Amino acid sequence: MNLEDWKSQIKRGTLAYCILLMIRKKARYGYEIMSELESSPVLAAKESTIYPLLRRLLKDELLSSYWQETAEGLPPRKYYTLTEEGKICLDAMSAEWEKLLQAIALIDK
Amino acid sequence: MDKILENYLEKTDKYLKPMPAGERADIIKEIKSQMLQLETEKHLTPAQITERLGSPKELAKAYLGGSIAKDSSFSLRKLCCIAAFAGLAGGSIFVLPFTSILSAALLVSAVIAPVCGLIKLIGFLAGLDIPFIMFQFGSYTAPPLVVFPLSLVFGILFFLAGKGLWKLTIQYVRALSRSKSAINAFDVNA
Repeated sequence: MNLEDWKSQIKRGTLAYCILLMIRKKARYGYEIMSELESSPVLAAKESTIYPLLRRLLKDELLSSYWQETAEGLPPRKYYTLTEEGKICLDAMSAEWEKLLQAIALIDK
Repeated sequence: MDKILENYLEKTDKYLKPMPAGERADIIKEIKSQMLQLETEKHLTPAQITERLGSPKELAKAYLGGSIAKDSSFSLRKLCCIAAFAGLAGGSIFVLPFTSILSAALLVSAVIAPVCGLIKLIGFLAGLDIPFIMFQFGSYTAPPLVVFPLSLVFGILFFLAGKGLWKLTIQYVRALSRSKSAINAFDVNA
């Protein structure tokens, strides 16, 4: 089994979950999301992964977005927030994640 | 804004052509915002930024792949997206044009066949023979009254075949963009 392959599969499967978790508490913009993911190398991903993923979550109506101008000549930022549907989905994901961890712990005993 | 970055955005925009204009503008605006923040906050040079973002082609492909795979409904816009994606994804040059165009042709036939059948039927009832519409299968030529029901049956068959093939196309794109993003996700810090 290819370890790198396995790692990237895990990342792919959990990236959407991590992003939804990050946005749950407050609205976030793309650069902020990327920087926070980058601070943990296990989760770090490229622009060409994160931005299309955010767009997909928007289209699936788990997220909504708005543009906000920033002061002192900085570029405007696109903020993302969770929709009602996004909250429901995130709760279901958290429950599933919990189940997965328990199941692994049980096998590992 | 730096010339290198402007150039990068222009190229990406060009590759995103098959997407709706509003969506495209929003994507470019967001990438631009990301670039400027990388510049001011991480102090990267324009060359480092474009290196980090990957080629405009790769970036556009990631967006196109995502928007095709979203659902399996058929639209002309999507057909164009698939054509563009196939061009960027390379490799599978043969499969995508074949399945997507054939399924589009089948779906069009699914509409045309019953319409022609109906015209033939109306013509027949009005006492006209319409020689350029007929149902022929091998050496068998259907009598005018049977043409309409037969065309309906074939219309439905065309529709089912076209739809099935379209679904396959979407699944293929999905699998393709998955295998690509698996590679993409990894080498960010490499």
